[in-house]
Amino acid sequence: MEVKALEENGFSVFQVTGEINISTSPELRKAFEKQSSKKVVVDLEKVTYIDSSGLATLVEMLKKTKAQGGSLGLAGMTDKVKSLFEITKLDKLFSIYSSRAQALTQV
Amino acid sequence: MSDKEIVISVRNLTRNFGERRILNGINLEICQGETLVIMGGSGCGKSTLLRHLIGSMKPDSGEVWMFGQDIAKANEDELDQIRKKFGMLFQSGALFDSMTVGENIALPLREHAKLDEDIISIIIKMKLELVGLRGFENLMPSQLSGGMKKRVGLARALVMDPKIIFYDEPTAGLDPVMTGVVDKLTIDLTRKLNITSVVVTHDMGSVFRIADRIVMLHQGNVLQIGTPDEIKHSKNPIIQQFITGAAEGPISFMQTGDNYLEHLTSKIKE
Amino acid sequence: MKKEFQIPSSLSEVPKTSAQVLDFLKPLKLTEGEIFDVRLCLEESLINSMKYGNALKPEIPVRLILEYTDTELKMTVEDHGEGFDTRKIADCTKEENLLKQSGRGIYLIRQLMDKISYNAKGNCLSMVKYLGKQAKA
Repeated sequence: MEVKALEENGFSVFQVTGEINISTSPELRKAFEKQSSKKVVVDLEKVTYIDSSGLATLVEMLKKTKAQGGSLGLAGMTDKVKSLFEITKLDKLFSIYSSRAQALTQV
Repeated sequence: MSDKEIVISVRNLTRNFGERRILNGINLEICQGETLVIMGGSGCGKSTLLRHLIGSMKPDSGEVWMFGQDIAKANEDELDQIRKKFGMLFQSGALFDSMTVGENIALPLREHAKLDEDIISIIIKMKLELVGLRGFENLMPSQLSGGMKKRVGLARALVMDPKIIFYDEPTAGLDPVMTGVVDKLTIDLTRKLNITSVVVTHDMGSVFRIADRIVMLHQGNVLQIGTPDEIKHSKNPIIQQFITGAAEGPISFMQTGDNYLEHLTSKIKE
Repeated sequence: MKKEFQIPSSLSEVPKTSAQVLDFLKPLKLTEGEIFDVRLCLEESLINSMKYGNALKPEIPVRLILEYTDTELKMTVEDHGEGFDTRKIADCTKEENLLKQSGRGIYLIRQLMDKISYNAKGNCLSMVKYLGKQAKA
């Protein structure tokens, strides 16, 4: 898994490639903890697989961003990945966008 | 317990599963070299408490101090380091069927250390000697009785020279005689090696044979902590009801591995 | 077809095992969606067994049994722990639990597999997925 941290339009964007699983989710967490932006977008377009530890990591990122009075959006998920959010009702918790571009205008 | 080093310290440990409170503010101190038994009826929380002690679970609140740190706040890397420092013994030994006794015992060594094969071979033999199974290294688990498998499991738990060993229902599935053998072995070894043993069990007979102190749990609370004598004479009606019918005294039974090995190998013709 | 594995309880073994399993299941020609579901449920159950059952001690094995016919796939995962009363695990989809860190693994397995069952002790989980004509749309 690769995490690229970028700045775009005043947002902290995390572009994730690969799998967010029990071995790789700590890396995503570490990358997130290096910053404390109030406007975060996690681009999941290139994420092929996510497990419950990946979901938990995103939940924690959401919690921490919100605690700062900020907002966090998820963008570009594949249908399969999105279905996991729906199954676990995490789609009620997160703002989910079909693309990074969309997220950057709305978050 | 007063002048001994405290190796594990549990402070106000609380854990819920949904709406149910499984552990309710547990406080407990475990000393170097003692054999502490945690027991209680089903649903008392003893398995959950064990999981917190070995770092498999994190509490909702409270602390678990071990090896100089609060493991409840440790990250995965730190927990990996901590796991190397204790041994675990499960029911029926928990061995790999496809590996020999020796290979099973060597697993922690291969995982955590870079040792020469010759050294590993010597260590395997030393640990087998400790548990009275000299010469067993090339046997397969399927050739062993339940009690022998348990002893191999103990040898494996000892292979990294841990200061603490946790036992999860160690005598379940063994007959009363084998239970006595495993118990005696456990006490002898852990005394000799000054290892701290934390045993979760509901086997009453075992408890009174091996414990220095007993922690009685009931519905997530510590009812009482005391010596076997203190617990036996407890005025708490729940405890009294629980221990009624406990077996008296150890059953001593000497068996060497040599007879068995000879027996197994005597039919083999060159 | 049936195959049994004994897996060291170490997280690094999880992706190795799911790769081996998916390889073994190639004759079934599972769809991409089915592969994802099978892999996720397998990995979640292995992780739970290793963590809660076997204390993440590599020397303690998790037993995995795979069985399949052309109508169903069954995976059984067994550890050496004292098990869980799985009815007592909190529902992760309830409002008050959404922000919690854990509890989604088992829920996902329940939702993605067609039938799951635990033994009485709670340390052995069986998961069944129906294939072919019997599969859910």
